[in-house]
Amino acid sequence: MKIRNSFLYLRPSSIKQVYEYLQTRENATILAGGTDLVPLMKYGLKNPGYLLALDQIEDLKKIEVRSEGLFIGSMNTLSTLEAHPLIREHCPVLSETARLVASPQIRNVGVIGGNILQDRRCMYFNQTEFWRAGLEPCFKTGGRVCHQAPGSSSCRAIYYSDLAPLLMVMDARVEYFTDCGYKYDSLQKIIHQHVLANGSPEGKNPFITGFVIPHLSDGTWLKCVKHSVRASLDFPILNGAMLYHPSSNSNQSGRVRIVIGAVSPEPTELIETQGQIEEYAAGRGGSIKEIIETAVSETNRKSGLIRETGLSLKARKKAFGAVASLTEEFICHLEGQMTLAGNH
Amino acid sequence: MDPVRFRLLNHVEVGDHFPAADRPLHSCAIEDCVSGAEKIKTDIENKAKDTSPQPGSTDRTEAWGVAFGCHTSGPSSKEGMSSCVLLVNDDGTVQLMTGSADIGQGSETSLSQVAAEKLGIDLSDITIHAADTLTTPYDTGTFASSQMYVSGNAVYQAAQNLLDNLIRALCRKYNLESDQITHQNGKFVVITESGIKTMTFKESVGEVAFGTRGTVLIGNSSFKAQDSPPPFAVCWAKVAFDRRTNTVVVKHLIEAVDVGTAVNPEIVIGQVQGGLSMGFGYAMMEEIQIDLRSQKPISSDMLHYKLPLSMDMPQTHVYIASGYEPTGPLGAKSVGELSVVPVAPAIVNAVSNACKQDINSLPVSKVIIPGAVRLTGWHSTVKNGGKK
Repeated sequence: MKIRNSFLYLRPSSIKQVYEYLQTRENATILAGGTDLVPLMKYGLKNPGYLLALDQIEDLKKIEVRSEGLFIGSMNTLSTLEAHPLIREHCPVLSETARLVASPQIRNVGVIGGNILQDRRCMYFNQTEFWRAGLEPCFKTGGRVCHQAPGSSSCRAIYYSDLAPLLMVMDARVEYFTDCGYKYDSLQKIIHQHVLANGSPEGKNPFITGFVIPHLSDGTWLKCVKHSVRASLDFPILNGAMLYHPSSNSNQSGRVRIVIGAVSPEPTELIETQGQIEEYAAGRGGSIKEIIETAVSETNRKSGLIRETGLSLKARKKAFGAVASLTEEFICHLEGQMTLAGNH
Repeated sequence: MDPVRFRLLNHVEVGDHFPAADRPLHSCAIEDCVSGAEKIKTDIENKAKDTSPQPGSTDRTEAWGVAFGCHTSGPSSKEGMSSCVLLVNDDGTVQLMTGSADIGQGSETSLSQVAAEKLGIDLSDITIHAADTLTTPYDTGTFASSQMYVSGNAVYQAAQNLLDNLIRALCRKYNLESDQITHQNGKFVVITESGIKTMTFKESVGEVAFGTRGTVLIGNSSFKAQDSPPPFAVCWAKVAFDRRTNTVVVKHLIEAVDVGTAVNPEIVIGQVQGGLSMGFGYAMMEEIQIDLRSQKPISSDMLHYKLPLSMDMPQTHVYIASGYEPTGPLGAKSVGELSVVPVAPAIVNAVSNACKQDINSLPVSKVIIPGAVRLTGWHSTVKNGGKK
């Protein structure tokens, strides 16, 4: 399939020049890895006037340890995240999680910045122009309807990034370039803004130059999950990350963070479940069974599943049982760690 | 009742007729399929004893399922037809011309093997020209698992015709009667008053090919199938079902096949592995879905039409039973489609046994999610603390 609209392909040589082009060229779009954008261009869903290829800008490929944390430039490929010695040393869970994304071919080209700012997906949107011709435009294509939920006032497409839950539980921050130079914001906020913007064709994202993963204090532990039909290349049915951060004060319970993705337009934090686990860990009551029930019901409540190919909604909802398994494993691991530490 | 015993009690045997067949069965090695597959299954179970879920585990259960299958060798209507020309060069190498197209399954290799075996020459002495409509003779086409049985029989008959022509040429040259020259174990045995002389195919060709009194040696055939002998298969599937996550993982697929005598066992194994992959996808996840709102198919590309890739496949195990089909070339029947036939029912029986519910439609993904939950390890920032 060919890209049918014409555009100018530019290869800026500096971050500043990219920003300048974004400000001055009408309908300019960043081409990062291209694994998300190029298929959308072939489908006629994205028709930029200018493509700004970032592959020549070495500053966007930096990986370094800074005082505030591990910095990863936005143009690092997922394969680099898998293999880079600094990431393997300082954030090995990110290396392992990157390996769960897509296929080796995609990981060799797709980059972390694009993974975070990937388009939300929907079976009525990710289709060819010919396929979509019989349907009125949806929110994402400039219309006023969501074909998944015609009564909905906004787009319900799902955000599938496999890296987002992990980076969110680690409180990663985003570095982006503006008129005033570099700025930083929480990843959670940037994803939220992206999700809102991505519900219409006009939405814009900041020019992300990198991510800062704060140094995690001693005793923090975490884990990621991806559930998909095919291990080889599929988008997830559900993904997530869990983190436990012990308190420096032995009288206080540690902090728990659980973020579940791929079940709603943006990743969902299981705040109620986190609270129950923290209470349980502090010996202030609750039972594992209750916590698991809370985790599943909270996921259910906060999810916004839509129809996708391959699985029925009923089967996808049943997959929330994975949250029960994960929560149980998390609590068991927590108890084991606390026993080791002699705190329980 | 034991599912294998039940099937064996109802299985056809040599001499039986299939309901629509006018000829009796000449070969059936189902017993060897059963024992070969069960031996592999036992080995798997012995190795898995340490990792299987404990009895009484409510969330995760593992189970086996079995299915038998059979197919045809070429069209069951016996409309399979093929033809072949073998043209001999003066050095005894042979040009094989057939209309049968190799579509990746390796039929050019195995058809050449049939000719080499029958003529008593090396495979490297055969050069095959396949499916060139300008120069090769007619073949009904590559379908219906017919290449080995139908096209193979044409090659075999052409080779026999070539040997007959060569014997006639030798008789003419040495003024012998046709019963004085025979072709045995790949060599020509010439019986004369002065004794018995043996000659290889190449030596014989050297005697009579070309020259003033020589000839152009050609063998040809036109084969019309009179039978379509069924190959048989036994397939076992082992699955792990997780009740809590409603997921199922196919861990092992075993398929034992009776293809008569395998002319090229490696090709047969490759065909069966391909069939296991097709059957696995068909059983678990492949589906053309139509969306009612748009009235269009939504399984519109290879991302959404879920074909299993290599890393999605379970472990596969193939066993080739010892069989011989008297009407087949060198005792061979077919393999291609046979290998797909029992896979989905074996998987579904295993899933049904594991989750204790009937599965009445395919793919299984309509009710149970294929694929496992993949996790990273536990990562800790405590040095020596315990990445587990």
